[in-house]
Amino acid sequence: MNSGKLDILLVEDNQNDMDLALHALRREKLANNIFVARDGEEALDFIFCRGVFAHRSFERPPKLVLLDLKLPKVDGMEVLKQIKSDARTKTIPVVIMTSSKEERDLAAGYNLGANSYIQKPVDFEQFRETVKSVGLYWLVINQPPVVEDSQHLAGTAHGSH
Amino acid sequence: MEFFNQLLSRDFRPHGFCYLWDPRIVWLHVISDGLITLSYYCIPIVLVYFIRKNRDLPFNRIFWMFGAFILACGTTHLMEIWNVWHGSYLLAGVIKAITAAVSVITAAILIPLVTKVISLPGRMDLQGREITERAQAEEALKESLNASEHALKELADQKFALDQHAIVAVTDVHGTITYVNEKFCAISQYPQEELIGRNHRILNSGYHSKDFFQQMNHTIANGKVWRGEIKNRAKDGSIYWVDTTVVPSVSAEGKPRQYVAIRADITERKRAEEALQESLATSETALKELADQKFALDQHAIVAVTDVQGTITYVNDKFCTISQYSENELIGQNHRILNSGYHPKEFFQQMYHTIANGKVWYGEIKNRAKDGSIYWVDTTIVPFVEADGKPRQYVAIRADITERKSAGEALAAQTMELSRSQQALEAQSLMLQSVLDSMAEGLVAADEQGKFLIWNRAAERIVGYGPADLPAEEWSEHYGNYLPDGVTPMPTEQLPLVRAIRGEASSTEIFLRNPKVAEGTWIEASGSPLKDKGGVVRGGVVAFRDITKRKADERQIQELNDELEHRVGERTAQLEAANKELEAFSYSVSHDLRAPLRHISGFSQLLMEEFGSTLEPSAQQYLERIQAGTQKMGQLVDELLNLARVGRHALHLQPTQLNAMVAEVIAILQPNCEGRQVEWMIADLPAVACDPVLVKQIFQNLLANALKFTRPRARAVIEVSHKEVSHKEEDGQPVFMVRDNGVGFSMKYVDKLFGVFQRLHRSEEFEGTGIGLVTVQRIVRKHGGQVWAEGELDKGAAFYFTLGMGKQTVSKINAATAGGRS
Repeated sequence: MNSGKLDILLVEDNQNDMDLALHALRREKLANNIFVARDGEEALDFIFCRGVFAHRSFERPPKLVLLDLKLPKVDGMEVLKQIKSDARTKTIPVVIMTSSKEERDLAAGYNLGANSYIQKPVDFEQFRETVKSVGLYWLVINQPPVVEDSQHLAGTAHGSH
Repeated sequence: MEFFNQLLSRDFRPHGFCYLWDPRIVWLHVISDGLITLSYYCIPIVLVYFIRKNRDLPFNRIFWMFGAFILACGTTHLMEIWNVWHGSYLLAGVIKAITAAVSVITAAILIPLVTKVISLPGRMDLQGREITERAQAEEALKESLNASEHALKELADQKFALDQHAIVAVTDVHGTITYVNEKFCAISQYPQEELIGRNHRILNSGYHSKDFFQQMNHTIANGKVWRGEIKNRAKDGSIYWVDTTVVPSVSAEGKPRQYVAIRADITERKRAEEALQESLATSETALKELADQKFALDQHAIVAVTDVQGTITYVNDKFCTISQYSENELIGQNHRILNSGYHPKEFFQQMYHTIANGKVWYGEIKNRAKDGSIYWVDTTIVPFVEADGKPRQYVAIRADITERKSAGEALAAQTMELSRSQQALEAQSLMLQSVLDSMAEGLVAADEQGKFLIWNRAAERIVGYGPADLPAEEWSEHYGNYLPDGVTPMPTEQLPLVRAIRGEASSTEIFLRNPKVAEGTWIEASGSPLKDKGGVVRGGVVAFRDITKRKADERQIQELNDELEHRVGERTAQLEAANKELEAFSYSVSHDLRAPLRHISGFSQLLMEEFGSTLEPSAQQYLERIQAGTQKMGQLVDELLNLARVGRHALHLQPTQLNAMVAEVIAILQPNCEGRQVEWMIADLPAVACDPVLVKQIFQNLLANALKFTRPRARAVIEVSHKEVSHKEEDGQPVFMVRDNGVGFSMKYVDKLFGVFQRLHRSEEFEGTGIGLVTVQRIVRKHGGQVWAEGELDKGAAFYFTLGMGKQTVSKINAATAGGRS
């Protein structure tokens, strides 16, 4: 995994789910630039470039965050809330992928600014289809906001010092 | 003695010898001399009498002289008779000599007196006589001097007469009294010697002014006669009035020489005059007073005068006004013209009897006026009685008392009425008392001063005391009234009776503690004001009852309630906890159960994909069964979670177009119809108020079932319709129906249709979890409706449900929605 271009941040604590998700993403050739965080705290450190990820720059945000809700340490909703309430990170698409189809989770997710909510199907075939659709949509079809300009401007400003 | 003997000597021959004792001659002389003697003796007696009667007679000394002279003459004649038989010629001669002396003196006095007497006017016409007339008289007197004896005699007569009835005094020009007659002495009470030589002022009473005497002196000093009435003071201080004429005796040169005052006693007359004057003055006042009284009487009284026959002779204005008759109509009429017929005959008889006897009558009479109207007069009739004691006329004085009388009559009627109503009242009050006493509730009433009017038996029993004559401020203390806290005495202004008297209605619970009642007594008191017809508060009434038992019951109920609430709270908390657990459970189920399924499904799939070619066919088949099992398990978990979710779901009713909903569901089910001939018969469904999320699940389940169980049919016919039933339970509600021509079911098992995990078909024939109809039933019930099924094996099945809402409700909701939208 290189530290250059990052496409997906997968936040998943369960090894089985992680393996199945990565398997599905790999099959669709979407797993080249992927980082897996195994709990909410790691996910936040990664996103906000701190702790072990202090070397990271906000200028290189993930193109998509696939977020499970049931997470150790800091749960998925809290992670979502922090991403969406910080100006530097709120434009990052966050797709909740979870086993729960609970209405309250749905409502809370969307209220905090989640871009999509997906229940992981029990059937693996369906799961693969879902992952494929999500990856294609957010990484290929969807047009993210223009961040190059701001990166450029920031770099120029840095260089002038 | 010698001489005296010689006087009576009978030495001489009696005179009879000269008459030769011829009895004729003797008796002629004797009788004639006797008569003369008698006459001569009579005259002085008369004279003396005259002088005594007329003390103010002028010249009364000459009268004395006349008297002596005549007496002497008489005595000579008596001696003539004596000497006829005795011959006492010396005595006779002496007597003659005396007579001669007296005669000469008298004549000597008389001659100068004659002029004076001539100037003296006759007493009767003193007033009017002029001086010229007096001169004439003097002349006449002078003429008559010739016949002096006659004149003297006349004069003597006059003086006598004067002295007999006049008060005579003579004063000189200085006012010194020179002569007073007896009458003067008698009236003045002074003896003659005290008067002679005194000034006339001795008699001055001080009544007259100086001017009076000056005027008098002036008049007489000028020789004029003065006449006036003088008030004199007698010796004993008593007063007497004299009518006085002062005549100046004028000398030849015209100057007064002396004044002769002739007076008449007019004291009686004066007194009478004064009395008259006085009584005149009194009568004038009396008359004026009388006139005033009459005026006053006429002003405010009704006055009439009738004669003894009752004929009206006088009426005043007020009489005319009240009777409405004119004066002319009344005068001459009998008083009966006014009779109202009200009084009995005896009444008037008694009245006439009284006044006819000269007594005053008082009474009240009801009269009839000219127009027939009635008036009452308070009447006083005064009879005016003649000297013989018989009434001459009657004066009736009346006062109008019609108003008082009618008021009195009204009063009498009222009094009667009052006494009747009082009796009724007494009866009522007696009844009221027994009603009050038989009441179970305590009843107490008081007037606006807080004086108790009613205090029935129950009141005494409940409160323990009877009515106390205490001010309201002391009621709470006396009766032991406390606020519900049981320790604070009830403030006076909160007492129901006090509030009632103030005009407020109230109802209060009072804690009662006093030695007469059991501890812990409670009463409930309702007070309301007592108002009179005008709505003015006249007092207050309070009804109360012992609510001690109720209070105890209430307290018990309260305690039970509290306990119950506490328990409910506990249960609720338990339930809530259970609910939380349930939620946590279903959450875990959805997360934690599905995750391993997913893993089994995922890895068995990967095993198949990646290593399937190397596996025995039977191993591949096992992997497929694992797959199917995980799918079935996933479905079960999802449906169970859904069922749980329906139970938790709160109803959100909103007007819903069911046709649209059904169309939506059919669209979702479209994949199940591929390769099949399915006829949908969807009727026009009404709009209903329901929770669309849930109701959609009803149709999803029922239509999915219909599709599933018609699979064996070459041509599936699925019908959705509704009808309005009008039997009692679902009155006016729409009943929805989903019917198919599928395999149906035996009605034997209809009860099992809606049981969880109950299935009537093998899963090899028709897949399913046995949760769908349970979910339908739960949703229907949540809406307050009912669901039931009819079926026949191999013919088809029909499911009916209602949503617990009347059509009206739906219309209302529509209207509300429409209104909201507009």
